[in-house]
Amino acid sequence: MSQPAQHDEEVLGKAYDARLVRRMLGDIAPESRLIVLSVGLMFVVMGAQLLQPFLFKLLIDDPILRGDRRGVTLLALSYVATLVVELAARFGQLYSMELTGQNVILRLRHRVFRHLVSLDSSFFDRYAVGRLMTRVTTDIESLADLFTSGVVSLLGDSVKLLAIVGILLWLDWRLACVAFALTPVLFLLSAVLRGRIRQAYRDVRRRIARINAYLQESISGMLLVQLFRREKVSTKEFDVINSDHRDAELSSVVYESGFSAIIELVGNVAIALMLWYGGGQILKSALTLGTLVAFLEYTSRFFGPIRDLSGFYAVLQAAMASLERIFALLDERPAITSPTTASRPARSYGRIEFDGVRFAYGSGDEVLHGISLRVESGERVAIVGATGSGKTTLIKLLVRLYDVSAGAIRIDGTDIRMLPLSYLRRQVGVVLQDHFLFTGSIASNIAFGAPTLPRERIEDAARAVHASDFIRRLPGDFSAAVRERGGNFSVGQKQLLSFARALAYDPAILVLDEATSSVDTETELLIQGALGRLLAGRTSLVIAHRLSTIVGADRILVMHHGRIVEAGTHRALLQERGIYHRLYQLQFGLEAPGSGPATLASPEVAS
Amino acid sequence: MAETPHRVLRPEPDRVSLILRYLRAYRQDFLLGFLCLVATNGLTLCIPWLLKDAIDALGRGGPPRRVAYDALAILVTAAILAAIRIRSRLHILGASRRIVYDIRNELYAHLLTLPASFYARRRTGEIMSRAVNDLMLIRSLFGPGMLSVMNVALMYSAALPLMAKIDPGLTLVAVLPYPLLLAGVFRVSRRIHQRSNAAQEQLAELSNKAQETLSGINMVKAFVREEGEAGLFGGLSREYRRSSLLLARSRGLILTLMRGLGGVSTLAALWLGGRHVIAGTLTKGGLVAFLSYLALLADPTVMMGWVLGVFQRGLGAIRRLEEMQAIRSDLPGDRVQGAGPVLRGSIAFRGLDFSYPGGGDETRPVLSGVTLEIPAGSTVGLVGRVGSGKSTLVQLVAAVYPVPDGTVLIDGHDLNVIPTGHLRAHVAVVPQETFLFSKTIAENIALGAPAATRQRIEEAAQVAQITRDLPDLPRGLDTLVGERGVTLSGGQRQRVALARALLLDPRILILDDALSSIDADTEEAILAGLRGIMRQRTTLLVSHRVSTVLAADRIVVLEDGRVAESGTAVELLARNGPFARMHRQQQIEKELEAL
Repeated sequence: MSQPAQHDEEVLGKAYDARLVRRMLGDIAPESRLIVLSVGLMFVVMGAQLLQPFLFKLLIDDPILRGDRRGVTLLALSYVATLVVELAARFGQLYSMELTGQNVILRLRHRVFRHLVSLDSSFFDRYAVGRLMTRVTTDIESLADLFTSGVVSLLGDSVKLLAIVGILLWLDWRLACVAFALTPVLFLLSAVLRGRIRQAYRDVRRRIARINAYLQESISGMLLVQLFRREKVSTKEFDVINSDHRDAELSSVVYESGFSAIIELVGNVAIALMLWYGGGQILKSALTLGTLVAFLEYTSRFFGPIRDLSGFYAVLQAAMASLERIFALLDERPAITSPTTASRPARSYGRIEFDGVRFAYGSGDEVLHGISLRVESGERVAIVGATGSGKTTLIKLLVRLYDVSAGAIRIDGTDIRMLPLSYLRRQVGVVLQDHFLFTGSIASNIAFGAPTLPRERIEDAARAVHASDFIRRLPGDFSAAVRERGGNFSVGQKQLLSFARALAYDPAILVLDEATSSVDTETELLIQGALGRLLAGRTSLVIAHRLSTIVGADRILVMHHGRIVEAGTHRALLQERGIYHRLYQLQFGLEAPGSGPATLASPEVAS
Repeated sequence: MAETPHRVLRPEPDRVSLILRYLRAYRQDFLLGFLCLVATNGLTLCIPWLLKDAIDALGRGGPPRRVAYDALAILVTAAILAAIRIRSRLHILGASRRIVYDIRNELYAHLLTLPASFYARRRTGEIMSRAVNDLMLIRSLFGPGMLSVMNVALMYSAALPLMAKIDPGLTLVAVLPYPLLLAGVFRVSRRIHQRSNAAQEQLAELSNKAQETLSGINMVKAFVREEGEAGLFGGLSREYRRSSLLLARSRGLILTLMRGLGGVSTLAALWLGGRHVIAGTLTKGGLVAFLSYLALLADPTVMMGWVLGVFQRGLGAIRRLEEMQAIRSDLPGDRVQGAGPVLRGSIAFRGLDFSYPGGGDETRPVLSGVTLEIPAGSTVGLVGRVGSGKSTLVQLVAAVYPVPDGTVLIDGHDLNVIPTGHLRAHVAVVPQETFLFSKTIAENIALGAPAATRQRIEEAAQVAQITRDLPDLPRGLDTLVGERGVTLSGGQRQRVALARALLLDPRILILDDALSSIDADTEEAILAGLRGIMRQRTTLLVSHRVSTVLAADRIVVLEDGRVAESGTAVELLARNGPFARMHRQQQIEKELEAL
């Protein structure tokens, strides 16, 4: 994934890449016993299948000739035996191969996912989630295809071909040569036509992609199409790409039809040839009739595998391309890791120190220009500032979602880059603005960071932040389902739940980005009360939007354009008549301090 | 898909009639295809017959000529067969592609008539799935599906009499397993379909989980939940593996079953046929030919099970498409015939209450009791908080959503009696969210006037101040924008959208917070250029920026869907109400920005 990611989905390279295959072998190795079993069963299937025409030959040449009814029955029974063996082995073979494939991709999928969650936030800034999803789904699935259809059929086809060739040679080598005479023709025709078909399918795919893109765009911009009365023009435009697609489809139909008809033709030509040559031999008594019949039977099974073999190439090519992308992802290394020599401090006091911290996202402009601040153990500090002043970035740096560009952040005097990551993140509880909830239950969301938490403690946490009232009203209370992103809860409820989650996590330090969304007065009072409980007894750094939070802080820091420009208590800062004073006017109007539950978001300051 | 009151469904759509409709429309193709299939099947059956003849001749020890002739006949038959087989497929598969093309065009034409309320409720993916996935299913129905149905029918009606001619008793015994085979295949293929759906759902759940974890990656990391999430994901992966294996088991079963039952037929023929040969009621060649016929029937019969599935899924797709086709626009203006009145551009709102359609009981009114008179040619500024209803109000003028009769009037005509197309020819909207199509800038500007001359496009670009950016764009106005072209800044996009509206030369111009991403200087220049244009037409200017509307003839402040105050800027500032407060706050913001 180090190369520009724009076009990596469409790139199809080699059908076989030794380097990729060798890496893949590590994932396949644990399944070697299943693979051996599957291959063994495949031989059984083939043996049984190849035996059947031979039984026909015996039947016609021997018992029927002699009028031996028991012989007929005996041969019929042996046919039953081969059939039963073939069917049982075939089922076993298919299933064991499916099992192999599923086991391999299960392991690989899990590995890719674990690797993904270990990567840095900056990695996720660079790659759209949708693209990464493709790695875990589509790419892995195309590897599954390789297993369930590809590899075994490749092996099976080759073995089948070899076996048929062997048997035909053994039966009558001259007749066999006649039968094989057409093989090169078939191979050639097959390869040429497959190439054409592939090209035609590529055209079809490209054009259906254009239809998709056009539709997608039209649907998203439908209102504009209609407001600007573009319906007629748009219908015409759509007709052009739609008929382009139809034409590509039609030419793929031509090649496809030609392909299957020509394969059939070659098979029939082979039969005619054998009849002509073999017939002559029989009349010269150089060949028995039964042999010729068996020959005709085997030849009909000879062309199928050749056709399938030429089809395997495409599957292999797709799988290699997927493998390439998957391994490229696995080669991404996270830059933010636990130091190798880190040791966990015996206990934490919750002292935070930012020392000349500078930071820029990726190669963008610097957003923090030398932030220095100290928060003492148990102190409550509020940060205020306009949108884009760099407040949220402070939180992300504190839990090492990103590392500082210059300067240092210390907790209890130790640079956070020297602490084990899990220890650091265990000390710092985070409440982000968007209150991301996960699919699951209320309980699983509250116990998100502490999965082993007993039920009573979960309920305690909910009660402490006044969330239990609404939870109790839900069907199934704490077991009530949380849908994707908490879509079935109101903004206020989501806030209370994320407070409960932070409380259950019970960190020494709490950093909180207050939501700007406005809620009704009753919920607002609940949230204020909950916030008090959440912050009590710990060091806290709050990006504050509520007047109550700001006024209740021990200290207020004012951020402006990536710098801390003012610091002090509410009263002192108001008297300074600087930026804080203006922000205060902006957020809470010109009303007297403490008048009601105003929030930053209530007046319209942003679009 | 929940039933919604405004959605009108046709009486139970007759799906079979849709199939017939297309069969009729392409009857020549289907008929010729069928005739070709008759020929191919006949010829296919000829080959074993010739084979039998040759082998019998060989069994009798000659004459050698006969064998050679048979071989030659097989060769010729095979060549003709190949040519006709190609034709049969071209006709039938070709028709299926043309049918899909027709349906897709119809569907798209229909989508163009559907109102905003439809698109608000449906996810794009769902609509796309109709136009792409469902059409694939329909293609399979008309293409391979039809082909196989015809083939199977022909194969049976040809092979059975021939087999009966060789040995009637043997035919009966050999064909007995087939109905059983068909029933078994049908049952298992239904189960396969269910299991494959189940596996698809598992896969969807798996990717939802991945999506969620990756979207919430910051929370996952902050709460040290990497292991926990990987564990949940692992659990879902194992579930998916389990359902995939179940599916594989059914697939394996169907293969085994079919091969097994086919084997039983062969066995019966072998055993009984062998005895018949010994008894002298059947020749050896007859037995060989019989076995070949049986082999010929096995594949089409297996095919039948698959075809049933194709028809089942195809009919499902047709039903979903029919449902979508039955949805009609909810705009009264879309049902008005005729040319429509001459429009000059005065607008009146009379006690307008509005809430978004189809939202159920919880929908709160977005607008309540809005009454405003806007004379033709005047400029009205609309301000208010997010969600105060200002955007909705101006969208209603362009008939984006249906309004109650008599609540919105244009030049004294009820909006609901003006044909929507006619109305929109006189109203140009620059929406809040700029949407550019993947075309050139010039094409985007000419969106509503494809025949506009280059000169007019350039004039519009001039007024919208796009010209000042042209040197930075690789091909000027002919620069491609969007996914495959250059990415324009928010401000640039808004200016293109503005030029697009200006080119329409509308009676009513609506700027819905359309200059929000444009810096103050450029906005100034744009407004200056617009002034002349605005004088000649009614302009509705929605903005969160007080400075934008200061010069308007009248300013209307909306609060919670009601008109809170209205008047000129001077009057409103003097009143010291909500407008004055907004004005002050924006002053402070400007000061802060400058610090």
